[in-house]
Amino acid sequence: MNDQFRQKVKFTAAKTLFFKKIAFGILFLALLNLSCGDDHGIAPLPGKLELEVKFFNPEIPEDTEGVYLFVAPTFPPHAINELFLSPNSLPLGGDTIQTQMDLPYGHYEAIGLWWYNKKTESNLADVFTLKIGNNYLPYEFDITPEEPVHTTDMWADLNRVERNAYIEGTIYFNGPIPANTLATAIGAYIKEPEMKIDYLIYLKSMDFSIDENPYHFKLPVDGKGTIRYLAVFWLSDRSGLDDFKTLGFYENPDNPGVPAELKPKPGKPVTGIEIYADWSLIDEQ
Amino acid sequence: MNNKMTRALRTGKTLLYFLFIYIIILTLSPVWAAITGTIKGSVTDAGNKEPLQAVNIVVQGTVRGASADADGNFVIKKMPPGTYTLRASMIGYRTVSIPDVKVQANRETELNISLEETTLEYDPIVVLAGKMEQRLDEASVSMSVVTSKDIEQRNPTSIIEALETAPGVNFIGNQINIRGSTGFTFGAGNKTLLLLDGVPVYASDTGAFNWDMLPPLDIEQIEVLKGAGSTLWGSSALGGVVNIITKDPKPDGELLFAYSAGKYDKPYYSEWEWTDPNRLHYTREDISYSKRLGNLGFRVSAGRFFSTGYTALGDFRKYNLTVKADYRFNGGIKWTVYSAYSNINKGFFVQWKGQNDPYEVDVTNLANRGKVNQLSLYTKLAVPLSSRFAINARASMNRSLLGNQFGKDADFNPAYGQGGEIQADWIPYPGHVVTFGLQYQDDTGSTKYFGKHEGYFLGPFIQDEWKARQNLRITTGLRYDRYKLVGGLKEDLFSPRFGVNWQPWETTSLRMSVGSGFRAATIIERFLELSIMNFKIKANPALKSESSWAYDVGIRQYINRDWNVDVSFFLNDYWELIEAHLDLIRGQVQFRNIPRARIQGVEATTNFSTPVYLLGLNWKPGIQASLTYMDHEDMKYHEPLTYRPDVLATIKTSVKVKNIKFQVDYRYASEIAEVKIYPINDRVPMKFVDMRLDYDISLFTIQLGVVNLLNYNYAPRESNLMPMRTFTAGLKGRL
Repeated sequence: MNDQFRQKVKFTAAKTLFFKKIAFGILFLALLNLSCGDDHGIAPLPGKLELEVKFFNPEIPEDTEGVYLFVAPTFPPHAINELFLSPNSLPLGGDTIQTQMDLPYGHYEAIGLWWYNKKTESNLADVFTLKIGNNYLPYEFDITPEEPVHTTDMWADLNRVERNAYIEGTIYFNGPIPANTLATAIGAYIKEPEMKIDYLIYLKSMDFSIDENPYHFKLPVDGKGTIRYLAVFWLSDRSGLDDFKTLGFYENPDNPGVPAELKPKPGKPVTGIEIYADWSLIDEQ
Repeated sequence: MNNKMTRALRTGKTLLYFLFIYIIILTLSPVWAAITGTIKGSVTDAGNKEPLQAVNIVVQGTVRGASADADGNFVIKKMPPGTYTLRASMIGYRTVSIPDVKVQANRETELNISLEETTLEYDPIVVLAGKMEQRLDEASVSMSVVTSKDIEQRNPTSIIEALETAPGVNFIGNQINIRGSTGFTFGAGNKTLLLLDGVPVYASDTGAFNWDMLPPLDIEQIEVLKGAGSTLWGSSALGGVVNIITKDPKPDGELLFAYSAGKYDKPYYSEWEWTDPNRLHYTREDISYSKRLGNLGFRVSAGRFFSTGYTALGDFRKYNLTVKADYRFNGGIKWTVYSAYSNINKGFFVQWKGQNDPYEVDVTNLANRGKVNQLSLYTKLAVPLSSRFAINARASMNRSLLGNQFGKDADFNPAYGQGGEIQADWIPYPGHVVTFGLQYQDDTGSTKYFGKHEGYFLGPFIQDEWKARQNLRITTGLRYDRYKLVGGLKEDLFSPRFGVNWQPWETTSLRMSVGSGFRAATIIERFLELSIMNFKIKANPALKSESSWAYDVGIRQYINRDWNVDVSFFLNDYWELIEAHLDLIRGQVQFRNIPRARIQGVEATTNFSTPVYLLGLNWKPGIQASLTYMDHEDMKYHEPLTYRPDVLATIKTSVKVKNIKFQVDYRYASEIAEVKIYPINDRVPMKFVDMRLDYDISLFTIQLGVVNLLNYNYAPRESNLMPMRTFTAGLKGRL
């Protein structure tokens, strides 16, 4: 090995060592920086809703699985998982319940209670209480750094989920159910919906399990009020709770084109209903 | 079993039988009669010149090999005369190849091999890529390896902790994701296959993995194959395969023990304190003894792992008992039996009470407890019939019992998975290794929620590994599977594979692979129907098998002897991907097929280790870093797939000076873009820093560490926080 080569090797080794020291120094500083950071990930929610729920009738329906509190940042929500939902049922049995929910800062458009049934799938009709504010619209409130705690109360009536009467009949579709269907449903309303929000507010009962043509339905409803709108709806794949498309409704036999009024009572169901659903109406909405 | 299936089985067995007879007659008879020679020698540590036991010696291009005994000696008999290349490998040492080893008839060829110790494993020997031993840089697919040395240094309390720093790997809950393969499926069905010494060990009803089935002390190596691997491994090898290789009995007798304890720190936010923080801790004790008595070797391990948990219902008691035994007959025949039993009694934490009480559960759930009871058994027989032909047969059974998994009285019945495989390795011509065989697997599960169901598959497979040139390997393979659900659907699945590994220069390895994978839906995904808290799970008996095509192109480059870089580009196309679907109208969860999905990205890893002389001391620093970027998409709706981060990164640094080793690990995962249940909950990226100090005193190691040094609060899925900062201490010994 000649001197020149030896010198070159020595220089290269020194340079490599220098770069190694620099590299490890940078890495050490990077880790030090990381360990001194102030980011600790998920933090407690700063706001709170304190709610007193007063029951008109605290008697719990036999098939109750639980009652959950929800708070909606937007109402109607696009999907049910866009609600802040209590992780478990509220403790039922008393005249009043004190409950609370931690929330981030923001504007909220509705507070409600959701009834979960042991026997059937939970659906939108099980939103049995919605706190109503000004102009008979859902109650809105804000959680802000200045007012992080919002306190309010709400009346609830568990009788609304006592579906002791029913409406029975058949739906005839003018074609097969489209492949891009999320759900096809029949819903009973105390009033014909006009705005998107009405589809939730006026709803008394809904069955989302329509999967054949013709479809025989038996829709449980409470036996107290009047059903003024019984209609068939369709939701396309990926659509939201505010995207109902009406395919047809039960018409007054004496006045075609006008929704019929139905008064089912316990022990006196309404039967023999026939509804004709037209898929071409989807395109018109 | 129906008639068609019985016929298929019978036909498969008959074919296999005739094939074996044919091959044996054609290739073996002359070999038995041939005159052979012997290779013998010893292996020593290049540093201290001490003999090394349990070094793996393989004669390349043959199915022959040996393991060094307690004195470091090895013998390989019945070698046909010729010139061979031997490869000696052992974890913690650089693998060496010894070319031009000449074997002469009725002569003994002597070799003395010395191995050099290394801080990092650069190219360990793997078996997952080709169902046979090969160097990592000779594989045509992307893989990561966690060696026993990594495991010892990290002192993990579970296999999850051992795997979580592997490049491209992250966990969502207990579910492993290899380059975003699985996401989170609520414990039902994994899009990766878990193998124990090459034997599937998933629960037959849920498809879930019991990561506590064996103690970390028992593990020799964990191999992670990235991408589809069904050609060789069958169902479930859709997005990757994890193979846990257990330690063999040590020739000289060995007693290993490990004790570790951890103390959970206070939560970062004082308002999150939910109990006396001083009581939250864990302890883990493991002991393992192995010895060889002549031809019989055995290893017995036992362990227990108790924890108060760091959350309400986070407590558990876990027990392990494993036994491995092998008997080496003359002629290199090896018979192995392994059993692993685990019993777990634990609280069942489903979700937090709220973001302001993240370590608590609602009072109505406090009685939720779960049990897991698993027994995995396998037996294997390896018969090298000649230097060119070997047969491996195995039978396995996996019994798993999930108790009280979904709230009160939600007991499952035991689920049984039984399997068998016969595999042949044949070298018909120099340069070709043909692996072929037949696999059968039957899974049965039942609960009061979905009744009893059974599914099975039968799959013949064949693969040719062709060493076309000294630096070029071409792999082609094909597998056919018939999957049948008793009383239900029947599917035929083909899984081809093609791969190339080219080493244009000694320091460069280029690889390319195309392969497919599939997974039949588990019983629970198809049939489970129940309510748990405010979730309703709905059955979907029509669920189809999911399948994938994986494309991978990579380069592994040695910058110098101590530094390598590996970069791979991958694209995984999925068909009928099974994902949990939240019905946003009815508020229920159902497993459904996503018609098309794609995960593509790039992964870069580097390993660097070199001695540095500083302050009069010889320092051995090492860095292992990885970065994985993934673009994942539901191709039908052009939305990101759920529970998958876009970026994963790990930096593992270590420095060893004298008998002290100091390590700092950093783990990062970007914020998960899409979740199913609570999309309005806060989500953050994962940023964990772990630190450890090891101090070796003779045969003992004292370990001190801090996990989650920054006390960072991360929830990989909704309403489930990972542990807060944890102080750990451990003592390990080898006698």
